[in-house]
Amino acid sequence: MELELNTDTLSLGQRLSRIFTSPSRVFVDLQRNHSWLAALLIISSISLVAALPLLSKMREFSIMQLQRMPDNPALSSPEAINLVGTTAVIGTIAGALLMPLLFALIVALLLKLFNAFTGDKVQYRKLFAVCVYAYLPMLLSCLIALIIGLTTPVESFGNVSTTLYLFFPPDTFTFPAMLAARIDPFMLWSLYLAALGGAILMKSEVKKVGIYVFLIWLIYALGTSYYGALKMSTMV
Amino acid sequence: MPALDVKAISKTPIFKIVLIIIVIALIVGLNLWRNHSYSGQLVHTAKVEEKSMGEKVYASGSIELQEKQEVVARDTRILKQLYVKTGDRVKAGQLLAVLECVTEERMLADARASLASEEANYKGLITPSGEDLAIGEAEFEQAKTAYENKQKDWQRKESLYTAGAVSAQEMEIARQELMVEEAAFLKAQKNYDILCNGPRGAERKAAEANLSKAQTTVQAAEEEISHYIIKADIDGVVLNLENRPGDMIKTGDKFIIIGQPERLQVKVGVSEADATRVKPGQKVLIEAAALTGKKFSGKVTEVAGLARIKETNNTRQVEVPVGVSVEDKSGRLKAGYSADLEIISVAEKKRLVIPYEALQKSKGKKQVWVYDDGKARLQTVTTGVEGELYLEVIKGLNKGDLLILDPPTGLKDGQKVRKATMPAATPKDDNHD
Repeated sequence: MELELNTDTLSLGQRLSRIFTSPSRVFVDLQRNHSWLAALLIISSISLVAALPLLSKMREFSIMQLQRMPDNPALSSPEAINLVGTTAVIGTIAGALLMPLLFALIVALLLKLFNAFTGDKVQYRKLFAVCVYAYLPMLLSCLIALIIGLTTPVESFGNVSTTLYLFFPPDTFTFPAMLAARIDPFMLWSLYLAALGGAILMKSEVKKVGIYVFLIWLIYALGTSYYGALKMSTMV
Repeated sequence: MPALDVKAISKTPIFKIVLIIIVIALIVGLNLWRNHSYSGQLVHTAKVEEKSMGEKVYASGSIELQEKQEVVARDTRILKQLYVKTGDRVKAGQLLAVLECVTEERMLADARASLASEEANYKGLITPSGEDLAIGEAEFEQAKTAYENKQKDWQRKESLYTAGAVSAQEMEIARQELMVEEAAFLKAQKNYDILCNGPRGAERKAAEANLSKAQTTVQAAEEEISHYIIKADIDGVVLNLENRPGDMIKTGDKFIIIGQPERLQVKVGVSEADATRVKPGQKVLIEAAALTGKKFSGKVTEVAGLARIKETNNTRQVEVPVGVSVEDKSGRLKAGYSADLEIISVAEKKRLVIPYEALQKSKGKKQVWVYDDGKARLQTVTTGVEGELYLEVIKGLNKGDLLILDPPTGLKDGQKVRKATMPAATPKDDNHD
């Protein structure tokens, strides 16, 4: 792949916006200045802000899911219902705040592992910075989910998705459906950006890094889909 | 016209932005379409269907003999004689075995001798023979003559005494002799009277009491010895006999068991909830643990009028004792086998049934939620026979109606619902229902 070799320094705003249109330029810039904290804070904040309007729906939806379960006195008590609602809210907030960080930590670790065997040695924190910016497409998917979530009634809240699961009827738990639920174009985009950034920093081929990252994702997706389908088949 | 450079266009930011917008629009559109198509609360459904179903009450118990005789040793004795072996068919009254009982035999012989003696006495008293009468009369006449002679002798001595020819001492001796003869005469007179007219009052009672006492003694001795001279009380088969002559039989040992193996029964306890459905005459299917797969027929013979409390592992269960007769012509069932019973309280036939998961009770009403063209509709139903997995619906539903299983809490009449694509864990079909 041809890399853009513009040597101008980019501001934080330029980095955040150009990652969608000129990612190579952003990663080349990150090679010089791998500051990531401000970007991470902004991404986490936006993620949290995108989650906040959905909290009440999230709570209501979790309680509705609980009530759909067969009669169980332990689960139908007001305490249990309250606990489930609170857990859903806390989980949503924690997920919104921590997801960017976790994504960056894990993918950077995978890139570092790849870097141990090939390419120029790159510091983990630089790869981490790449992954922080690579999370932006996933943040975009959060914003899309926010828009859809706001217009969706609570009982259909579970149907909101940005994955290929959209092509399956809701509550389908077959293996293809579970696999489709893991194919999120925005996540794949983020992984591609991480691979691209990693390749630029390691001075390696994007194709090689891309295949490595994709294979790891594929193993994860196949494994969790199979397990999920198996678990659901034993539950029904 | 200049050629369109697709590669160059695809690298422009505008193209990328447009592409992103298209993807976003596609995702949003798909979500909206999906929400519209699959709106409503997800529910699992099941059809109202016709199934062959009856009603059964389940119970477990042990197979027993309807009638049996268990010979239990009262005390430790040696088995002297044995007249039967296991499997022998015996009749009521037939001698089975004899235990050592020398003392009891002697006591019986003594008692019988006493009885014979008392009987003879009594007979002699009540119906004397001609010879006895003659003897009695002779004794009476002899005593009378002796008494009259003594009277005359007394009168003569009295005259002599007045004349001073006899001393006062001789007079006293004569008076005493007269009194002795008088007593002998009165006794002979009474004996003769008893011989002629039979005993009266106290004499008769005393004679009867003596005879009765002798009879009772014989009966007691016979009863005592009957514990050692063992006879069959019932017609049947010797089912258990483990000892041989010469063996020591200990106190409490059941050393002979007689019964009728073709006449078996099971005594079970039916829970109070089911007891009202069980009635004498109902057919019963019996499966013994030792003969799995083979079902025997039976019939409810009795349902107790009182319930009892059964306590096991700190749990109290109220149950009603039920007796069931067992029909086994094959002879394969044996007393002592544990058995599972299916009491057919309602005969099997085609009925309109629904799974229990669809039924809910509210304010004394039985209701189901019907899936009606994407909406939940509450329907009151009348139920009938209750099976293990399904129950009959008599009124309120039609064949083919779709019911919502395990209705979600808070479901409202007319609320939009959506059928799950994957089946719920519905009960498996059971032909025995």
